[in-house]
Amino acid sequence: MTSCSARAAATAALVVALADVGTGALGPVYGGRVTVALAELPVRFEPTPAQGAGPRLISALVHERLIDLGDLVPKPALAQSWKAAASGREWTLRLRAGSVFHDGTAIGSADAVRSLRRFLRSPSAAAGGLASRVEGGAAYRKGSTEDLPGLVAGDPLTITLRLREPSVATLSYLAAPGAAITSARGAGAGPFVPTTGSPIRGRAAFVPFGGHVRGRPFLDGLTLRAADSALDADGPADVTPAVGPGRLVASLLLVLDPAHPAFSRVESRRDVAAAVDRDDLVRNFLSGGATTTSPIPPLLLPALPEAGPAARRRPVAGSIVLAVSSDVPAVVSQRVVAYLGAAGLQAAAAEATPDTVWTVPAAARLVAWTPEVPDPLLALEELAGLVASAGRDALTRAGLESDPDRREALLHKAEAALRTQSIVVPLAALPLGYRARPGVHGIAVDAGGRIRLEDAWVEP
Amino acid sequence: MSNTEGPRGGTIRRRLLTAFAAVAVPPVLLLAALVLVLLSRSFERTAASRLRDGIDAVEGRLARMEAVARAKVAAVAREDLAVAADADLPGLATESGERRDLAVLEIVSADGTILSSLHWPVGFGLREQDRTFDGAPRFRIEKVSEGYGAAERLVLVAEGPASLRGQAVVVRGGSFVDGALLDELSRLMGAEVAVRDEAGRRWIAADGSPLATWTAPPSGVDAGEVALRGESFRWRARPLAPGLSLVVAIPRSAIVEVMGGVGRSTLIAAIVALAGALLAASLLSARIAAPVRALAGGARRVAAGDLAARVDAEAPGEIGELAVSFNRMTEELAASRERVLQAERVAAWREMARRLAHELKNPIFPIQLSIETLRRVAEDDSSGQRLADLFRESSLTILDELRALRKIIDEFSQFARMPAPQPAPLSVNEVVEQALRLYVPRAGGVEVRTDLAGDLPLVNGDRDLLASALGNLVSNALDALDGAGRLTLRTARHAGGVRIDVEDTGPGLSDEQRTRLFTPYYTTKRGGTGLGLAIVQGIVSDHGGRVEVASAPGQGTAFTLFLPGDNAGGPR
Repeated sequence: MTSCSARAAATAALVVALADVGTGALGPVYGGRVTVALAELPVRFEPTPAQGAGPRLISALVHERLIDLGDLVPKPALAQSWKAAASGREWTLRLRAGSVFHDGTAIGSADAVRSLRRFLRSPSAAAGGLASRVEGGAAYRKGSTEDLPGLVAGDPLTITLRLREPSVATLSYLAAPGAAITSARGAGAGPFVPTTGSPIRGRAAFVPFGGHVRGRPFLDGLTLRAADSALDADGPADVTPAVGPGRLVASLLLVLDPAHPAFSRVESRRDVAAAVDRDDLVRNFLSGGATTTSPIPPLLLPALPEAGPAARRRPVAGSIVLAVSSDVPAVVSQRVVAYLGAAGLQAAAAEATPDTVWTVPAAARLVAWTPEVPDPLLALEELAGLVASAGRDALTRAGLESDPDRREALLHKAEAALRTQSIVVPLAALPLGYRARPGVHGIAVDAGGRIRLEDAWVEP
Repeated sequence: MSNTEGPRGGTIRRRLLTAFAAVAVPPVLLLAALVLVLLSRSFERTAASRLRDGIDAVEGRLARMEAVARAKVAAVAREDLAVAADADLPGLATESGERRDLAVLEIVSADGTILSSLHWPVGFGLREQDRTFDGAPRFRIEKVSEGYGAAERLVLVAEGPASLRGQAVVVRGGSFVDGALLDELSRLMGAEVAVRDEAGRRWIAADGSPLATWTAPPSGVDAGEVALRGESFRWRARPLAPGLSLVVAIPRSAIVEVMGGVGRSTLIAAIVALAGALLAASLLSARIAAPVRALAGGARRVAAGDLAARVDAEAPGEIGELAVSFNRMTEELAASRERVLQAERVAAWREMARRLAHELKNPIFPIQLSIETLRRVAEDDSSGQRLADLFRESSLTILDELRALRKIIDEFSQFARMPAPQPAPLSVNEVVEQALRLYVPRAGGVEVRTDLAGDLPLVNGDRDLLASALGNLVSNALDALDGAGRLTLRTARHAGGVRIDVEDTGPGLSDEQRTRLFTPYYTTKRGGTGLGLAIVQGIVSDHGGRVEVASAPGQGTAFTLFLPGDNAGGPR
């Protein structure tokens, strides 16, 4: 997709050429409205680290970043081009000329600097990683100074990032949802413009943004609403996010708290990990899922075969509270609880939101985790930060390594270190997808687990 | 009973009321207590019966549920599993259970592996994790899918052997024994129905059931009472299985409410009966006591000198006769006193005429003799010298007698014109001293002593009249002592007032003299008018007091004046 006019011309040509075939075979057409039902609707439109399907979707609809990592390879978004200098310690990005925000103001380097400064102080793991690399970033993130020499605007369309040391993941950090560029008044530059106010109260409406960097979306209107109102007066929703079938962009993780008496010994954690029959779980309850030994989605880093003999299934005992993220399918959680019960561990499941599941008091957590940024290094950094695990040294070296093979080896080493203590127990690679009614086409899920509707279209 | 009713009338009425109450109250209270005890026992028996019946009814319901489950499980084993060779095994129990309207259904292999489960679909392929009860296979604690995990629920099941794809399996199906069922049973029986799972240390009960708040039910006890949420319950338990008990409880509030109602009604009836009895007693006692009180009042009035007092003679029986007799007596007393008064008046007039004649005769005789002598001498004495001498002497005699006559007339006049007292608070001691100042110069050889109390109350009286009365007594005493002996004046407190003693050591009085002492015109002194003590008595009486005299021949005479205090009345 290059521009609005090109897309319109192609569509018109297709309409003429295929006038006698079925509507579905015509290809994308402008017009139509789509309603998306979400289990949980976020409260605001502002850029966030985007945990959960709702915030990720809002991020994909309303906001645009400098770099797009939707297909794992950095692509131009608001930044038209970039170049590295000083042996990879200085990155200069040139903004796309003529691009505007939803409020009509032009996007300039000052907007980019202001937005990235906000991002560096956000709770995002990617922001933490970038701040640790940018000159003056750590002190700025702590709030001890307002000076940030590593981030400057060169001219109205150029910004420069100066790093303390070279990093191969610099562009990936800029692709984080929280790194979206917003205007001084908070307007985004994503493919859809919200027409309802913030905070969001059960429903949000959008219209297509004609000035989007990738062209105007086909849809004329878009509505998001909470799942419990999916059957309201507007009728059933057209699109519903769902686990599978789809891209394996998430991981089903069982996270054990080593501070809890039941999991204080690594042997007991391994016994618990062995209690879950992952093959059975994927085969019977995760259609489209995959068995994996890696805690990060295989799309980002292919899992290596598990080394050594399979752990023996030994009985465990005790009663625990298991916090379960609401985006984990209930039957999957029930089955995991059943495995634990069969092994002797009585688990009382307590639902939590994707945002709170990491922090609510619980001895164990069952999480459908999608990395904030679809980059293996950033994903491992994020996970290591969440569980305070080992392997940071390998991660640091991987961030410096420009050779792809050696870099992947270092990432596998870091991933293995993360698994060694059995604090994070990968259960499966989760497919994130959606269910759409017949006649709705063009919906995609990117590598970041975001549903993209900018190419969606509806049969007339 | 007011103070005016008098002690005797009040006592009679109180005694009558007490007697009535003593007769009426115990039977009423006894009856009320008896009614309450009998009702309480009756309610307790009814409650115990309800609890037993409730438990029997619940067990009957469970037995019927088991029978229904047994029939359905047999149908599943016989029909559904026979055609399930190609069916999706994990979904078999769900499909079959919905078709047979079973809430609980699972198909388990011989080694205890769940092949298919309706209530815990995610359990297939896993070993059973349920809890059973020894000797009671129909009850189980089953895992049930709930939310993101599982819950443990009590189920009532029947099970039977079956064959699935040539493999021996067990089919187990039934219903939940859960809050919904227990809520339904509770509503049907009007009691709280719950199941206690001792091993799980939990209650299986309807939402909001007070039994669920019972933290520590006693083990080994099958009935009793317990307070839950501030309300008392009577309960009975019966074991369904080891460690599993059926408990039925009924609030005592209903019993307490009925008992309270009966108690209140009985109390009201008792109060009404008691009030009626007391009212009747009051009326009757008033009817009896009123004539007695009237008689007592009449007697008091008669004692006070009111012989016109009469009592209502309408009372029946002896009291009425007594009232008639009393009235007759007072009439006769009044008539008698009238006769006495008339006689006394006649006697007084006669005495006064005699005294007047006597007093007038004494001066008149010398006057007559002097005038006759003058006339005779005037006729016989030609020279006139003797006549002149005689005239001078006779005229002096006539003047003396005329002076005596004037004195007699003045005293009578004073007695007749006794002035009304002009009362004012005064000190009796000062009055005594005022009287003594006038008469002590006349004492001569008489020893005058005073013994005046220092803490006397003031007397509301006429200083001059009281001084005159006291001076009269002092004068009489000095006359009696005739220049020798002792006169003592003493004052003292007496009953809120003052007493004044005037004592002399003179010759004293005979009984006849003492009794007539205050009679007007009676005197023992030569030249006395007999009005002095009458005047004294009149003055003291006008001050609300009285005069007493004590005397005996040769032992002197003592007059005592009793005067009321300033706040106890005054001169009338």
